[in-house]
Amino acid sequence: MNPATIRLPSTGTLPEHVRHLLSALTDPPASAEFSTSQWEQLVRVARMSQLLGTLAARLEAADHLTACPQAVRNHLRAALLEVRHVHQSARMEMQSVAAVLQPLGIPMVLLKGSSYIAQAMEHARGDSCATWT
Amino acid sequence: MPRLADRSDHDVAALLAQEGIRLNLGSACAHVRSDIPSVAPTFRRLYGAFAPEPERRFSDVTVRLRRVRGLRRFLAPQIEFEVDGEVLFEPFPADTHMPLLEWGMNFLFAQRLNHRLLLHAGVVEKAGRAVVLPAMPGSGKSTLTAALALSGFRLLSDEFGVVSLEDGSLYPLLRPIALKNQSIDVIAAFAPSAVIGPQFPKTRKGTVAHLAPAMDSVAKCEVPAAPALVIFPHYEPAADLSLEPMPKSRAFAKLSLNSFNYEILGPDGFDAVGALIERSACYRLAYSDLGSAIDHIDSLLGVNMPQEGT
Repeated sequence: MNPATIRLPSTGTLPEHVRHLLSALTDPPASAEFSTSQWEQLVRVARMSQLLGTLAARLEAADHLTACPQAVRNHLRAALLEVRHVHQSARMEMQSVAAVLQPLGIPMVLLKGSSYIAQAMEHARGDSCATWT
Repeated sequence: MPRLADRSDHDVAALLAQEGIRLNLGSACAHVRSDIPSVAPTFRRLYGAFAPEPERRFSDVTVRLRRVRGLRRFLAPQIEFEVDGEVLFEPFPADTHMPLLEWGMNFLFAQRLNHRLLLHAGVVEKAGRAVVLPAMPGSGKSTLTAALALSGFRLLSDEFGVVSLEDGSLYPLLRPIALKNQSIDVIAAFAPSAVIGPQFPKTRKGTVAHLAPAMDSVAKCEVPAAPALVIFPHYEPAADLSLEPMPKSRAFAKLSLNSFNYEILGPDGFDAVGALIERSACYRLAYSDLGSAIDHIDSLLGVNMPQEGT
């Protein structure tokens, strides 16, 4: 398909909770306006779409975690701890594989998620998808 | 809002079927809905001391019990457990609604509450000081926790020992206690005034019935308790009571293995278990008689009282 024909839907046609998630991801300070029930919907939709870790990382990078309601902060904190665990497990697995391959003279090539994590790239931050291999 | 005990079964059924009921369990708020009318009387009995939270309250889990559609419902009706619009687990027989609800919520809490250390343990409190009873196979943890909760201790939780990563305190996650098999009669005989729900036979844990938490525990469901005792109980039929101090290194190893999320929390989990063990006196308790087990736990709490002015 010609990339020019791919069009994102205008955010105006998206359900409210999806719009809130997008705005919290792209503009963390905008989340200051959300009500409790809007936050609840947002956290649920972020969890379902595996974006809770990304959301938490972006709010943290924007120094906006403390501005979130306590109940929301608990979920974001949990997501950050889960992501830290996933990334650490991934790095450990990469090191173990490298330790086996290196003496054999076989180069190790990291693809996609694992390479983003290994290079500590910004868009790997908060990514909790466990499929790094 | 009035407590569920002060409402009619009919009201509770209508609430469950429509806007749902938000329960403040302490460490989490659960939003529960159900379109199965037979759930309401049991739900009302077991959660009677809870008052529904207002709609603006943030819910950490949103669950629904619902009937499985299709012709099968005329032969052997089934129910399923829905979370955020998605069905988790295989369907259960329709007459095991409460075990499915409780088990499903446990599953969700174990997955989601990773901002705190989650031990697999019963927790009770007296004078602000917590007794942690880790669950080991054959420990009789739920029976002992239930008996303590019926003997002047405040119940914080039966399934989850919830430990704050900030201050190391134990926080309630208050639910009915699931009693299994012989435990049901043991607790009914121990405290005839205990509010125990209907028996659900043939679950995968055998027969299950639930003990409703008392009103004062529910009223204090946001009040933490400082760690004081970690007791590894072990039920031994007809045995004399024996109580042995446990080396802290061993208690640490046992407790970290007994946690739901020790690994996920990494260094924070290590520090939290360490601080809990550090602040608690640790024992192994073998018992057969509930009354004497409770007396010993009570006196241990007194003996291990922190010194005034230190």
